Amino acid sequence: MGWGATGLVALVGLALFAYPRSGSPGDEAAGAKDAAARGAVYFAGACAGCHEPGAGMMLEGRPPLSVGSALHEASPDHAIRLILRGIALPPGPAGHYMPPFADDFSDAQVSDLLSYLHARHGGPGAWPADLAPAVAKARKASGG
Amino acid sequence: MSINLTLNGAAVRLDADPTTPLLYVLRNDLKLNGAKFGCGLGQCGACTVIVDGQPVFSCLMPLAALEGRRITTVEGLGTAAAPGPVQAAFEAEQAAQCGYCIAGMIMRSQALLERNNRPSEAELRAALSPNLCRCGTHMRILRAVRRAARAMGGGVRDPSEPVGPPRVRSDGRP
Repeated sequence: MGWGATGLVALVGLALFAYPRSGSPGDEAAGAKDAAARGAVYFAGACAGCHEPGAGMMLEGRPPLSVGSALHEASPDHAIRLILRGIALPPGPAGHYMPPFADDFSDAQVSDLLSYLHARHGGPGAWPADLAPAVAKARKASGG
Repeated sequence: MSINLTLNGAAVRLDADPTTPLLYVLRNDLKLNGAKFGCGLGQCGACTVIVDGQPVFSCLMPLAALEGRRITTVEGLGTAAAPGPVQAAFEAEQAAQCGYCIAGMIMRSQALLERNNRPSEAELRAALSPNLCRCGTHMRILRAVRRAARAMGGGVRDPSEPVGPPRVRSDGRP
């Protein structure tokens, strides 16, 4: 019994250490679910017109998010940068383009969007639950 | 789901599907038809409005992301009788041909000049580059923004052409 209690305390302590923003792993899972649900709403309004199956861009044969590299990297930095800055249209007759969303979404909203995208399309590794600090850092690095 | 925001200086509470892009709420629910639907993909700029001082494509701006934010549309800049300085400059330069892109052009110009009323010619062109005009009146639009910069107490630092006298409409109206 003594071992069990110690083990539980150690587990909770570890969880608190690993997830400083929440009280328990259960809260963390619920929090991630809420974040992904908010992200799904942002995705539907801002991204689905190009990235959802059946969208014009998909019918033209562009790769779906599930096979793109950004959501499968160990670090979220590339995906964060893509959402904030988009892809500038290159000079010349044709090229790939994505509008920037830096001024549409707050750091927390970008984090929610990435929670949704990573849960739906990404992996195999885990990304931090709260990406807002990484988003803020990326904004700073690109001059706001 | 209801969202509270500031629209053209007034507090507004909106009840709509939170995934709805702002453009549809403006046009269909609030009857503010200045912002236009062009491509729906963030590629043309006809839907540009200002959110917290920055120009955004309202066709890709979900309502859910707008809680507490401050939105300005072209209707918030002035009226036909009393246009704001950017609107007046676009009129003075007769910058519109069909006019479909113009509300977006005005909003992106407004955002630039509020932030910096003494841009360089290169900064002006870079700022306006997300917005397209299929009639091809870009040169008149650039003239209008140079005129507006001056009217707002600044001016383009190295203009590719000086601000000239206002153009007169063929029907003689100002």
